[in-house]
Amino acid sequence: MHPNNNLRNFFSKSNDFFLIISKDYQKIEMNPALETALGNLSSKTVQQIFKTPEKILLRLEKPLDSNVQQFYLSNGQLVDWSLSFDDNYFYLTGRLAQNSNTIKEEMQSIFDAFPDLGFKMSPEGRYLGYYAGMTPTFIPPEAFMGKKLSEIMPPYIAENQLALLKQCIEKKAIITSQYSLPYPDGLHHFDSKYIPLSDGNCFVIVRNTTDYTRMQELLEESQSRAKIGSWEMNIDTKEVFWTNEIYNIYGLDKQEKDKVYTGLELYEEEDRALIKKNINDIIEHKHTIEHKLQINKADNTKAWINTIGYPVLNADGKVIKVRGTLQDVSESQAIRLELQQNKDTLQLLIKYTPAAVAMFDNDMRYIAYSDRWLSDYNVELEDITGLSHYEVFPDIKGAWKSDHQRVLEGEIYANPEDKWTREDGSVFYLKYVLRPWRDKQGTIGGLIMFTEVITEQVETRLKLEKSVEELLSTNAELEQFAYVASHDLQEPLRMIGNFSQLLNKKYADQLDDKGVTYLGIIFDAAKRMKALIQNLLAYSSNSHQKEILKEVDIKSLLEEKLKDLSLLIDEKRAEIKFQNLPNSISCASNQLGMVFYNLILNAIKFNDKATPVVTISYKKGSDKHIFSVIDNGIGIESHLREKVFKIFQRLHPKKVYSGNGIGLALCKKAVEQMGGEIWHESNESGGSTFSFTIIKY
Amino acid sequence: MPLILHIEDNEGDIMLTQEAFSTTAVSAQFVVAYNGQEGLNYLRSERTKPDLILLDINMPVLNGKEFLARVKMDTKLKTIPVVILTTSESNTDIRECYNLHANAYLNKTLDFDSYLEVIRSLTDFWLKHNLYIENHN
Repeated sequence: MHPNNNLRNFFSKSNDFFLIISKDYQKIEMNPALETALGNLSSKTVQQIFKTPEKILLRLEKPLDSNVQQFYLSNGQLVDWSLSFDDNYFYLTGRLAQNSNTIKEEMQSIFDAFPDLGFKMSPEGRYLGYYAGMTPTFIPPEAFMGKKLSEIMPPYIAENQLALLKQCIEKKAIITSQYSLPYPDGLHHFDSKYIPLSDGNCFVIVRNTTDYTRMQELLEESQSRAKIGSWEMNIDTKEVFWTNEIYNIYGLDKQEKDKVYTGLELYEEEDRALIKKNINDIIEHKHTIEHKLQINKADNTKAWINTIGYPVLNADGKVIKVRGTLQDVSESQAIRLELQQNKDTLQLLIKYTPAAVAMFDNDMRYIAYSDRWLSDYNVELEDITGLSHYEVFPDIKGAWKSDHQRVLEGEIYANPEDKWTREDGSVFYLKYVLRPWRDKQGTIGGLIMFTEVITEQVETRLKLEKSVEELLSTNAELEQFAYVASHDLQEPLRMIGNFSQLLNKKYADQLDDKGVTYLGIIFDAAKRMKALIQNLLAYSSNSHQKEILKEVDIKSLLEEKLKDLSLLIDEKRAEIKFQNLPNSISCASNQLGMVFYNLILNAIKFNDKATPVVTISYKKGSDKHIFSVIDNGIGIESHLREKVFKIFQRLHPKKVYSGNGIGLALCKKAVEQMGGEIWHESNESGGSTFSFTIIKY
Repeated sequence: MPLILHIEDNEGDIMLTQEAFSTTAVSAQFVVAYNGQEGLNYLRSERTKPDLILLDINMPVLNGKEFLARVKMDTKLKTIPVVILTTSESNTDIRECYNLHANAYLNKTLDFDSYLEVIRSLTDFWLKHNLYIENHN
């Protein structure tokens, strides 16, 4: 059997339609099934066979896509045609589309159940057919027909989608993507899924996720309150989707998104690299990454942004998206920074405090300390932050540890002086206050030690105490001396005095005149010696007598002293004047009276004028009283001025001016005890002016 | 004749005092002890108690104040008048002695004339006109 005959036999027996059309459309052959279907045709022409011959012709003109297409036969039957060709003929095979119509209807019902749009698309991105789902579209799906992706979508999305489509067809793989399109009511979001078809086209299911997205607005609103935005990035398209809050966080108008597109522009140059690296890490290692960066918001303010990103995987475990949140943490960051700054400031403050201060946590570990802390306690470590106090000072007293515990329980503990003998034998005297410190909630966070090394002061004080002790014992010795002087020294003197007198009394008749004179000299000497001893006792006892201060009326005090001196005043016809005297001052009245007595006494005594004039005057100093006793007496030569205040110092022979040389020494001592000084000046009359000060109380 | 116990370590003072007494109208019998302890021994051993004790302060072994304290605590002796006769003019000594119930505090002077006056006033007051307790049994 000739193969051609077999083939012819096959064609003739087949229920499918076979149609061969020469390229010049002149020769047309068909199999019996088609002939039967068409009935008696007057002529076998394209026009006779097809209901819409122009469409077929148009189709045959562009025979490049060899896909199945439906055309109606002239008898009204819809036939699915597939087309192939060679140099001379078009070969069309067809089958009544009745069955496929059923499938189509079934398919339609399935698609209708989904809120999706289905398009059949050519590898060039042309819409070939559609299945409209329930998803509301503002553009009716018919409008897509015959158009290319680039005519429907913005170029940057179309380009991307086309690439995915081609990838789907080439690799025969299902590919998903997301994109958003501007609609009159705002941005609409779509998921697209490209499914390769056996005919070399692909089927894309588009789901409008805008409603779903809107469902998320509630979530977003709550996120907004928390200043959290969500974002999603398509790895293939690099397209980024943001929730509204991100616009708020970035300080962007929603319309402005195109301008910034990725948001990266808001970050610092070096941070952008980090973001890219992190995104790559998420994709590559499929893990979650978080970073906190400062941005320059679109409104030129700065904000701290905490971003979390994580991978979204498809069923194959491939990363298809990076999704995450973005949060404005400026406030908490500011608080954190402020806290950090406060801590830094505190640490600096403590560091440079010119005292040995340290701050500890509850475990007695150093939080902060002053430089003086290290230097005062000879700490050789450079940084003791975080170290335990007991590590730094292994030789502290055991009792101190329990003190620390008590303070950590809330007690404030102060010790004005504590001795610490260190391991190396060195001795420290410390003064310190330990206080607990509390955090904002009032919980004790540790303690602060304010300490002062007072070793030097204490040692000075101890020395002082020792010398005071020595002085006191010296004083006791002096008193002992005074007692000895008053008894033991006077006793032999009394013997001399009494027996020289007794001798004179009982045996004068046995002596010549000279002998009697000699006894007189012995007796006189004894009397003078006794006076000297008594003055010396007065002087020494005066040095340790403390007098209670009281308000003293100066005029009354002076008048009392003048009464004591009245004999001398009368004898010398002295004139006493008061000048600017204060009413009353607070002072040691006996001491002051004694000073006045001696100065007035001297003023009158050492005076050769017919009328000695003595003026007592007063001046008020800022912190002292200044008294002067001015006379018109014999004066004192300037080179002797200091000498007059020395004990037993006499400037004049006894016969001319009597005196024992102790008055001014006593005055000087008394004035010094009243916290003042005494000095001598010569005045216009050639006399003396003795001035002295006493401290004001 | 009144009996005087003179407790004094200075020989010169003993002589001066007896010299001064000799110029007074009162003639008295003197017993001398050279310190407080001797004086106390005398008082406790002799049945005859003195009518007056003249007491110096500054003495070895047992000084005047210590002697005074013991005498004034002793019920058998405390009635004997004790006159302090001393060089000391110190307030402390005077106060202490009166606190220890001394009956008088007299000062030894530098010149004999003054001393005579002191002794005369003493004999006038304590021996001449005073009635004293009969201690003679």
